[in-house]
Amino acid sequence: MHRDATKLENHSIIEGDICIVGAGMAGIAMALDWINTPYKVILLEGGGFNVETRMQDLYQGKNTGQRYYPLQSLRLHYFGGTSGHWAGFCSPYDPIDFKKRDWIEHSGWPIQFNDLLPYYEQAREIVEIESSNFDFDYWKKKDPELESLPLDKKVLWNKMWQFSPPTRFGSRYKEEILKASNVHLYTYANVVNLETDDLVSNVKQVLIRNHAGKEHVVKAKCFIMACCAIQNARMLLASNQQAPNGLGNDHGLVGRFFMDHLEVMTSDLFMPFAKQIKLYYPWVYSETKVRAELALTDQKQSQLKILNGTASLMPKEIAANKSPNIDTFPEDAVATVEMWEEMNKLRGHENFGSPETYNCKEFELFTRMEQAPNPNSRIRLDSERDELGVLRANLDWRLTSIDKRSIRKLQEVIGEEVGRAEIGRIRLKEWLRDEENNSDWTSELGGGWHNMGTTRMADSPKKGVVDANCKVYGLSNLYMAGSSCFPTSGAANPTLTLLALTFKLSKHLKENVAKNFKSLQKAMA
Amino acid sequence: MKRRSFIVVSVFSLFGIGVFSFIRWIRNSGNVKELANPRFLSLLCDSSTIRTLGRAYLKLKPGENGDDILLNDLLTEKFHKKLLERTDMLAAESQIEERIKQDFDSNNIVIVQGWVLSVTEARQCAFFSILNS
Repeated sequence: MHRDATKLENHSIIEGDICIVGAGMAGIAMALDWINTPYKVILLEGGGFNVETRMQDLYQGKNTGQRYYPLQSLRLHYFGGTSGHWAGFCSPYDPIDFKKRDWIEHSGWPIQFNDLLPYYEQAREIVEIESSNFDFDYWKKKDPELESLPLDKKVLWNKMWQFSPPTRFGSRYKEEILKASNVHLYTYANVVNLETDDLVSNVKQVLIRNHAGKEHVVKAKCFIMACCAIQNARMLLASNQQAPNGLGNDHGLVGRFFMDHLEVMTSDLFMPFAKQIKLYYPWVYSETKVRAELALTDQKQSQLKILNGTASLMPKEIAANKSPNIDTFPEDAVATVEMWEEMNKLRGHENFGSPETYNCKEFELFTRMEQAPNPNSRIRLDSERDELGVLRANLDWRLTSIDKRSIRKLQEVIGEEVGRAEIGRIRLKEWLRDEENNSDWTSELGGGWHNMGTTRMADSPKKGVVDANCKVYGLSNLYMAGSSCFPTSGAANPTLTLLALTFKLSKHLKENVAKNFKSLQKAMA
Repeated sequence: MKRRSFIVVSVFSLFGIGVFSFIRWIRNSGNVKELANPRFLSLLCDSSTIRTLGRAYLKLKPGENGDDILLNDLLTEKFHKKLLERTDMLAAESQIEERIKQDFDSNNIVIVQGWVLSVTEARQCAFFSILNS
């Protein structure tokens, strides 16, 4: 069921068993998973059912570090969240992404790939992709035209991607949420403060506000923050009435380790003779079912002591017409949603993007590189407040030398391998050529719009904000959902993994927390 | 100098003079230009680019700046022998192709103006730039 918080009587008190803050991909996934349980679920969404400039303005913030996208259009503040301008890229993280790598400081998750594996299937289902199988051989059997480049498998492998339609969570799951008798969705319910008990040991209630000047309180036994990596950190930092440094921030880690993938054109690949590259052909919106990117094996990453990353092949004629994402991303979030809607209308039209032939011989390589976790890359609170009185976010995105060195090494490895296979030669872009210079970045560098890491998961409160079950250290009933929990960013887009992690959290709450709600309620009283 | 040492030194001196003369001879022959042609790379870029890459390589490796030095680097002992037996240049070219492949296999690569090249083909570019300077 749904209520518009602007229409509630002022100072209403809303009560439930669990309260999910944020109805984006993680929040909706969690809520769907609790339908038909004996628990009352409160789902709070700051925006409405459509993207609105006024709501996006609440996300407005400052970029004070490495050039980055405008914060007010980066994430979408309405029901369905950023799925509203999601491209639909899906691939799981690699096992190495979860491991402690001695050449990467702050690497290692307290959970491993196999712990998440069962939940990838649930994630697959909700984003509506065909299979949980991401092996090249599996897809090759389905489509014999998928020809792999003859490269050494001990060095480079084909990392497969599947593409969601893309599923717009707002429209796709709205009815299901609204019809669920135990899920209570409140729109225009912006959380502005989390209030704890005097000991700062559990969250008693959250305060919500909206532009209608209404203020309400939500009480629950358990709270899950699912607002995105920037807003999750911002909200913990801003909830500083009982804890001066913010909640969960006893060790000053909230907001630190902000990460995105480094996405940029990195080199040219020249082949003397055209090859059929359907397997690697650039993604065509709503048409491409699967494709591959060239990825470094664990062995090679370890040998070179570099980060995980992939490179995709972009035929020269396509690359020539492509401006860097960092230069073209709109400041107006409404425009980003409209742009995707326009694209959607073109589906099925002639010449929509499918090539007449997949034969190409000259490419630009587009790299997506993991960013090394860096405590100085962080979200802070700015001095300026938003319209609802919350201090705005200030993002200081910072990169380190291993980031650039890893990008360069990936190109070199690909260069060696295409040389070894006698199929071509690689030429690095000028900004990558100076081996001694690992600090200057090309102005074309952008992120993948993948915000991660600001409430990182760790096995100790000295190393992270949440534990292996995404519970905030020091608070008995506060959980974080989504990619803010990621200790490292991996090479793949985070969507599938953040959903898998959300389903893992959901199961944990059902099996280990919900059954104790009665005793928890007594303790809180 | 003892008689034995004198003989050893003389033999090596004569051998050195021989190799030097041989290189002078081959450098002046038309065929040598074939050795300075990085076959695979020339399918990808024009002679001006190859010359530029050659010059850039010599800046990276000034110790190799000399046609005699480069030729020596390019020719294997086996090839020296074959040339002395007056074998044609095709054998030499295919041996160089083989060395390029071996370079990539053993990571004997060099990055010249962003190009990831086998050291052998980079030397070919350098040799080409000298012959066409």
